[in-house]
Parts: sequence; structure tokens; C-alpha cells
Amino acid sequence: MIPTEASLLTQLRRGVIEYCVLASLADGPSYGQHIARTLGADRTLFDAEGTLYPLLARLRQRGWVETTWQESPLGPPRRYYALTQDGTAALAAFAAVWAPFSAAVASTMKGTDA
Amino acid sequence: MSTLTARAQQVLDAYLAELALRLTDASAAEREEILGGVSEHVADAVAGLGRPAEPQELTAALASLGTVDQLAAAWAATRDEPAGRREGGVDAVAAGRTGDGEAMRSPGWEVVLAVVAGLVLGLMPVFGAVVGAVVLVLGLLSRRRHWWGYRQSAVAAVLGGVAVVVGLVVLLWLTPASGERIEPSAVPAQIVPTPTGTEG
Repeated sequence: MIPTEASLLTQLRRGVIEYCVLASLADGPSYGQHIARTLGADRTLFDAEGTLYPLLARLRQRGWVETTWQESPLGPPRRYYALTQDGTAALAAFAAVWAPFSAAVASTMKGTDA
Repeated sequence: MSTLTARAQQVLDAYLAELALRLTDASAAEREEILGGVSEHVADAVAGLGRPAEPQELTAALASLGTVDQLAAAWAATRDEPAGRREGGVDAVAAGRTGDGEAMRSPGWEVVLAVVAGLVLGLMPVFGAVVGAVVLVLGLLSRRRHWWGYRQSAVAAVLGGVAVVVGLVVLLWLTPASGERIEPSAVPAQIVPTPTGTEG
């Protein structure tokens, strides 16, 4: 059976997407819609923006992000997510593995463009 | 000022209620956090209108959020993540700070155990079939009504189903069929008719 593009994306996202969320917070706290729009812009990392929220809940449960409330200039107050010390360490650990991993994959896949 | 009209609020409430039902295995706090995030996302999405959003405008915001199924699947994906993926010295599982044993077992093992348990249960014909039927119904109902997690429901359904099938097979095997044909060799010799061609 030949995998579909959707099924391949689903597999590749798992184990990576949570670190992309952490990376999106590396420059400072952000709120849900902003993170979702940033990461989901081209639909590669997210199929649907709402799938971010279960992930954020899980990251907070693990102690990798923490939340604070801030006033919004447009509507109701927003919940802002920020990296914790553990979250920063998790992101650094992933980044250290990801760089050689992605380079190895890119090198292996070189010349196999369909 | 409210960000939604009353009718749009009803649409959102229905979406959130359905999502809450689908967040199996989520604690009340986790469920509240996810639903809160979704509500805030919607509020942000329609805040720019400068007036309460109508149902069709809310529908567009919900479309970008995704279906309830997609969100529930995303939640399930965070549950099913193998513990090994969270290694690195910073993970609660690796540090032994969680009792999330479910995430540390392969679902395949649970199904294998359920099949074995169903076989054992089914070997007790009447008792096994009855208990299996109850477990099967509970598993199916739980799957439909989200009483237990997806895996627990599936395992219960498999266990019950196997027990019912095996129990019935054993029961049928032990019970002689009512229309069973009697072999001639089993009939006493004195009532077996003999040829009488020379009479008269």
C-alpha cells in the first residue's frame, strides 16, 4: 500500500509538532491564535488550527509551558503561553538531535525527488 | 460587549459540548483548558468585527479551527505517544513523576491480553458467554458514550466478543443436536427388520 500525503504528514508531525510549538515560544510568550496562525500558515504542521489546544494542554501538564492572562486590545483577555525552564531544556534537547537527524534525512533523500 | 450573537453562541456551545464529550481520558482541568483555548481562539477570530458575530461568521471561524473529530484525534495522539519519545532528562515519564502507565504499554499487548482473557473466559461455557456478553455490551456502549477511554473500550469489546464466540462454540459442541440421526448399529438386533422374501 502506498501511503498518502496526508498519512505521511500525520506520521511526521508526531513527535515533532510539540517542539515546534515550544520553538514558537522561544522568543517570548504568545497566545493561542497567534501560535496557531504562525505554525499553521501553510497547513504543513497543522491540518486545523484547533488541534493546537490539546497539544498546549499536554505541554502545560508536563510543565513545559506555563500560562498567564493578559488584556487584549480587541476582545476578552488572552491566555499567554510561555516556556518554563523544563520546556527550554526540552527544546534544547530536541534541537540538538534534530539538526543532525534532519541533515541525515536530507542527505539520504537527495536525488530522490519524484 | 459579547463577541457573539445569541444564535452564534448556541452554535459555539454545541461545538464545545460535542468536543467535551469527545475528549476521552481528559481530566476535568484538561478538558476545561482545551475548551477555554478554543473559546478564546474563536473570540479572537471574531473580535475584529467590532460587533457580535453572526452564526455564519462563527461557522467560518470554526472551520479554521477544525472539526471536533480533528481536535479529539489530536488529543488522543498526545495520549498515545510512547514514553520513549519523551526521553532526554527533562521528561516527567523518564523522571518517574507520572503514573501514566497506559502510555507506556503498547496497545497491541492489550489486545493480545484481551483475546487470551476472552479465550479463557469462553472456555467456561455458560458463565463465560454471559460475562463476555456483558463486557462486550459495556465496551460498545462505552465506545459510543465515552465512559472509558478509546483503548479501554476497544479492549473490553474484544475481550467480551472473543468470550461470547468461544463460549457459544463450546456450548454448541457440548450440547447434542436434537435431530441427531441414530445409526442402525445402535438399534437392538431384535427390532431390526430382516428380509422375508420366502414367506407364503
